[in-house]
Amino acid sequence: MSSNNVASFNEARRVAIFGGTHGNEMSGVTLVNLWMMNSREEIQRKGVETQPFITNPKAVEKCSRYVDTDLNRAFTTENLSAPNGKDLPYEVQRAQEINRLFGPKGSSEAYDVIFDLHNTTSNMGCTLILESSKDHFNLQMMNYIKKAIAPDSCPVLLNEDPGLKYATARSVAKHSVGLEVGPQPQGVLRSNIFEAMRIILKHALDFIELFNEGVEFPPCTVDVFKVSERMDYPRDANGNIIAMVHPNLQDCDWEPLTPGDPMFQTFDGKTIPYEGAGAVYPTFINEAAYYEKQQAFVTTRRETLAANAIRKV
Amino acid sequence: MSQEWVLTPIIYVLGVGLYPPITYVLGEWVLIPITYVLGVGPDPIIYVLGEWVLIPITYVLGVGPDPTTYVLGVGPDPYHLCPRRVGPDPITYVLGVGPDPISYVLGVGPDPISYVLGVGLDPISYVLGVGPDPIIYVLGEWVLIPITYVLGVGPDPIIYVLGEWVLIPITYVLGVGPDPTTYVLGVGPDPYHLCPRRARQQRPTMERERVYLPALSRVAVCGGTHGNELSGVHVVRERLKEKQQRVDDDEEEDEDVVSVSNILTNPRAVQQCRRYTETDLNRCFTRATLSSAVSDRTPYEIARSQELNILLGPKGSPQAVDLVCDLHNTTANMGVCVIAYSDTDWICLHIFKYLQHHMSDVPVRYIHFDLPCREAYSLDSLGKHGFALEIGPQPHGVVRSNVYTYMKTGVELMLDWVRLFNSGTVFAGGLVEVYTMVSAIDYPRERQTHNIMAAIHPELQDQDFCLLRPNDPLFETFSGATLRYQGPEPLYAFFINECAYYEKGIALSLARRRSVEVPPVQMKSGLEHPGDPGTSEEEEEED
Repeated sequence: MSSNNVASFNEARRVAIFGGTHGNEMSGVTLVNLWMMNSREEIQRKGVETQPFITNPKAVEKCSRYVDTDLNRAFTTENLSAPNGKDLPYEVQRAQEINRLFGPKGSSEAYDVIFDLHNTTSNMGCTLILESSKDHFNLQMMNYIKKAIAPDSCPVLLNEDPGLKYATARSVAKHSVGLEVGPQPQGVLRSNIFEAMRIILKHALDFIELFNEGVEFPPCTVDVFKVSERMDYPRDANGNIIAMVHPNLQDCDWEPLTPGDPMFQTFDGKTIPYEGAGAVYPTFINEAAYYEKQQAFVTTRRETLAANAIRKV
Repeated sequence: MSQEWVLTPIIYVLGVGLYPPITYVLGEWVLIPITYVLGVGPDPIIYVLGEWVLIPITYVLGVGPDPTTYVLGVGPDPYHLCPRRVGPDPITYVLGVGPDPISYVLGVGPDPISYVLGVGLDPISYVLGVGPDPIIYVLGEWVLIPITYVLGVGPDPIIYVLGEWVLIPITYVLGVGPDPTTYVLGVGPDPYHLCPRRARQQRPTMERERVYLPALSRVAVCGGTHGNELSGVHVVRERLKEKQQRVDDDEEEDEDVVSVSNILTNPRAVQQCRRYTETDLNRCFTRATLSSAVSDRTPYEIARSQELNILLGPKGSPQAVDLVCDLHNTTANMGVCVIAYSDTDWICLHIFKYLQHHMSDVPVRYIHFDLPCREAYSLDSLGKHGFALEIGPQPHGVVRSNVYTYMKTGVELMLDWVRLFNSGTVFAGGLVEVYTMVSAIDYPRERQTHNIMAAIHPELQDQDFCLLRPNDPLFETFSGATLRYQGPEPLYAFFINECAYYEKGIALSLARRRSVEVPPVQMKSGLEHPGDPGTSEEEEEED
C-alpha cells in the first residue's frame, strides 16, 4: 500500500465519537449528549460525517460503569458472533448492535475512525490510547495532537500485547483512538477535565479534515508508553486487598518507578517496595474500576515509534 | 468621634477605612489622626482611600479612633513616598503580608513599644506590647474586640464596619496603644478567619462553668454505611483484624475504660462496592422508618436500619450506645469534617476540638446540620451522641492512602479522648468555629430531560469552605458562560461537587459560620446511665 515510504489511506469520511461506554465516566457522556442535542457544528468538519453516540445508555441512565458486564471488554469475536438472543447480557447485545452500526469489525464497511471517551480516577492527564504500533494514520494523528497542544502534554499509551489488550468498543473501526482523561471521580463532572477532553477532540478532528483535504504529513516519530505488566494489590487468602497504593506513588502516573521505590502501604502502615528488574513508568495508578479487575496500576516502558509519511489515496 | 493629635516622625502612612486619607511627608514631622492600620509585605502596596498613594511597606500597624494608639512601622528598608496621584479605583483596604513571617518592631510616641508579629502561612503567637503593660495573646484563644478598621489580605479584602465587635481566634494579632484590644489584623493565607459580625453591649465573660457528663462506656465505630466509601470500610476491617490479633495473642482488651464495637453497617453494598443496593442506608434512621413494618419486599437497607437500631439503639432509649462514629468519604475537597446535628453536644464538640488540635497537617472542621432530633435521619443519630467523620477528596470506589491514614488517626484520637474522658480528665473549654448548614444549590438542569447543563465553575471547584459572595462564579455552562451566585448573603460553600448528591439535586451546600463557646467538661462519676446528653443543669446559657 505504500510507495516511496508514503503510506496511503482512504479518506476518513465516517468518524464516530463514543461516550458513555462506561456510564459513570461523565465527560464523555456530557460531551456526546451535548453534541447530540445541539452544538453539532463544534464537531463538523468538511468532508467528514461525525457521529456522536452513547454506547451504553442503560449504564448512563444508572450512572454505573456497566449493567451486566463491561462493554469495553465485550467486543470479542465470540461475543460478536454469538447467536442473537434476549438472554445475552445487555452489554453483549449492545456490542452486537454497535458492531452492526459502526462495523462490522475487520470489514471494509467499518467506520474509518472511532474516538472513545473515557475518564479515570488516576492522575493521567489527557492520555491517548492506541492498540497498534503500526497504524501510521493514528501515529500521525498523535503527533499532530501533541504538537497542537504543546507545551501541554498528552501521553500516548500503547496497549498492543495480545495478552494485555482487550476487546474495546472502538476496535470495530479501522482506526481506533481511546481518550482517557483524569483524575475525575466516577459520577462527577469536573469542568477542567471536560474542557481538556473537548480540546483534544477538536485537534483530532482538525487532523482528519486536513488529511481528507489532501495534506501529506511527513514522516515523524512518536514517543509512547507501551504497557508491560499489570500489578495487582497484595491480597490475603480470601482475596481481600491488604494494602493501598503508597502515598509516594499515588498520583505519580508517568513518573519513573525504580526498584526499591515505595509501591504499596499496608493498612497497618508498612511499606512494600517495587521489586522489578528496572525502572518502569506506571500508569492507571489507583483506578477505581480496576480493583475488581485485580489491577492497582500498570507498568509501561518508553518506546519511540516511527511513522511513515501519510497521504490520502 | 473626638480626635486627638499626636506629633510623630513619619516614615509612611497608610490610610484605610472610613476616614479620609492621610497626608504625610517622608522624614518630616506631621500631625495626623490615625484611624487604621495596614498590612505590609515585601511587595509595594497601593492604597487608596479617595486618592492613590503609592508606598512600599514592610509592616503595618493598627490604630483606632484614638490616634495615640498606633504604631508606625519602621523597618530596615527606607521608604520613598511617591507623590499621590488619583487613580481609577479607590481602595478601602490594605494588604497582604507575604508568605514569610516577618518581625516587626514598632515604636511610637514617648513610649517605644516592641512588638513581635508573626505573619505568614504559619499561625504564630504574638506578643503585643503596648504602653506600660505588654500583653501576650496566645494562639488559639479568642478575643473580643471592637473593629476600628479592617484589613484586607489576599485577593479578596474584607471590609469591616468600625465600631462593631467581632470574635476571632487569634492566629495573628496586632495590638497597639494603651488599649490593645482596639483592632484586629488579618494576615495570612486565610483572610476570612473572622466570624460574622454581631453587636454586643458588653464583653462576655470567657469563663464558663464546668459541665459534668456521664462516661461513654460503649462506642461504635461504623464503616461502609455507603459501600463505596472505602476508607471507612478498610479502617473497620483493619480494626477488626487488630482486635482478632489481640485475641489470638491472648492480649487483654481494656474494656474497663470503654467498649468499642467496629461494624460494617451495609455489608451488601460493601460487597458490591456501591453506595447502596436499594435505598440510601444513611437516610433510613428516622423514627418513622425505624418503626415501619417489614416484609420480604422491604428494601434491604430499611431492614438493615432496623437491625442496626436493635444493635446500637434503640434510638432515644437509655440502652442506646453512648457514641456512634460513622465513617464517610466525599469526592469534595473538604479535608476532615465532623458532622453532627447539634451545636451544643459538648461531647462531639470536644472530640472535634481534640481532633483539630492533634491533626495539624489537614484542615478539620465542624459542620452542624440544624435538624431537630425527631427529623434526624442518619446512622449517627442512633447513639446518645453521634457524628459522622467525613473525609475527602477521595473518589468513590478508591482508597487513597493519605485519606485512609487521616481516618484511622481520627478514629484513634477520638478513642483516646474517650478514654481520657472516662478516666476523669478535665478538658478545657474554648471557642470553636462551627459551620451551620443553611441551604443547598442544585445544578441548572434541562427542563425536559432534567440533565445538568453546567458544571461547577473551575474557580469554585475544590474551594470547599471558601466564602461565596453574591455574584461570585458558581457554574460554567457547556458553552462557556458563567452563572453566578444570586443569594442575598455571603455563605460558606461545602460538599462542592459531591458525586452522590447529583441524584439528590445538590451541586453544593451553603453554611453560615459562627463561634460556639464550649464549656470545660469532665466525666460525672457515678452516673453511667445518663439522662439527656449535653444539657446538664450546670450548663450556662450564652448571652
